[in-house]
Order: sequence, then C-alpha cells, then structure tokens
Amino acid sequence: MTKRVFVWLDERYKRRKEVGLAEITLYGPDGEQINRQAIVYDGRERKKK
Amino acid sequence: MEFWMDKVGELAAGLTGFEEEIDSCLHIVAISSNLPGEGMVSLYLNNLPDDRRVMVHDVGSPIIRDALLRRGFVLEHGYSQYLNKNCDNYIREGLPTPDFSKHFTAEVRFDEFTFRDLPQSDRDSLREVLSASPIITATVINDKPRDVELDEQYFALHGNPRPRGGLHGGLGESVYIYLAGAALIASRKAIEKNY
Repeated sequence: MTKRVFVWLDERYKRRKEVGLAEITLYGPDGEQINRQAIVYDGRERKKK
Repeated sequence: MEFWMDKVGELAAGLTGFEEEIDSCLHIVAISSNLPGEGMVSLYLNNLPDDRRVMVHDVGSPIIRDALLRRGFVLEHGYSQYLNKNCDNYIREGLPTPDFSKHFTAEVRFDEFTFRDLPQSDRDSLREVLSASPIITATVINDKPRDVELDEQYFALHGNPRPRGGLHGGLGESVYIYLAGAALIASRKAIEKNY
C-alpha cells in the first residue's frame, strides 16, 4: 500500500512541479493509531533516489 | 479407528493425558499430573486456546470442576464419543475472531504548502489507491497540516495560542529583541562618535 501511495504522490508532486511532505497514519478498530510513527513521504528524499 | 487410550501421552510438562482437535474443537479426555500439587494442571488450563471450542470430557474431580468453572467453562451433561457414555462435560465456546480487516482506517496528511487545493478527482484516485489494500476500509484525506491541527487543539484546550518553538517563537523572540537592542545601542554609539 505504501509503495502505491508513494508512487501516486511522486506523480502528483511531479505534475505540480513541487516537492513536498506527506504522512500516512493507520488507525485500528478502536481508533488507536497502529503504526507508532506515521509513514512519512519526503519528496526531497525520493528525488535523491 | 485407533482407540484414544492408545494415544495417551505427555500433554505438557509434568502432565500426562490425551487431547485431540477435531473440527475446531479441542477435546480433552484425560489429564493426570505427574507432580500433584505443583500447579501443572492449572498452568495447562490457563494456556488452553480461547479462539476455539474446548471440551473437557467426563470431569469427576471437584477441584478440576471448580478450576474449569473459574475459567469460563460450562457444565453440559451429554454424550462423549470418546468414552461412549453420557457424562459431565465442561465446554467453553471459542471467542469470535475479530475481523480487523473491516475496521482499518488510513489517514493521509500533506504538508502546509501543497495539496490544500487537491481536486476531487485526485482525492478519489488516492482513495482508490488506498482502498486497494485488503486491510484498509476507510480513508481520510486530512487537509489540515499537523501544526495547524495541534494549534487548534491547544487553543481549544488552553484558550491561548500554542507557543512556538525555534527562532520564530518562545526563546527565539527574546533573541530577536536582544539583537534589536544591541543594534540600537551600537547605532547610537556610532552617531555619538561622529559628533
């Protein structure tokens, strides 16, 4: 899922000619955050690769 | 068919007996402790699975009966296919396995500078990407950057703006004031020198 979202973000940021940050957080049935830290998308880091 | 008594063996450390799982039901037909009074039976009962049906056949010992009742078992007088007779069996139904796949939510949040004007078509396509995951059933696209949300939460709780860190607030402001003061004094001294 993360990979697909990151590809989506890459594409959208590229289209807008911007570099940005995004985070993905997962919540369980009780509304509690599951991933201790949100999955962070960093456009600058992605560009380096 | 092999007789169950021929399969009696070690149930757990210090315990001899027979158990068998058939169609998601664990049948316990015999339990005997090799070290009576050491709590081996209690330990075994504590570790019984709770995600499937457990049936303890023909429980005669009052101590084991009480131990089973304390652990959520219910007495049911009925036929035991192992013992081929009607007897007192203790049964505990398995807890339903929660279907976590129906309750997972993914939240996507962007930074302050981008995607505040994310068009509906893009929102829909992002939702589509997220919902392709077998575990995600709900998607939230949060337009508020984390800082803005924290500001709002702080204001709602304390009634005043959230203090800023770094050079843009808190100690940073005093640094700016100090630098401005020093510049003012220096410029005054420079003016005095010229005269």
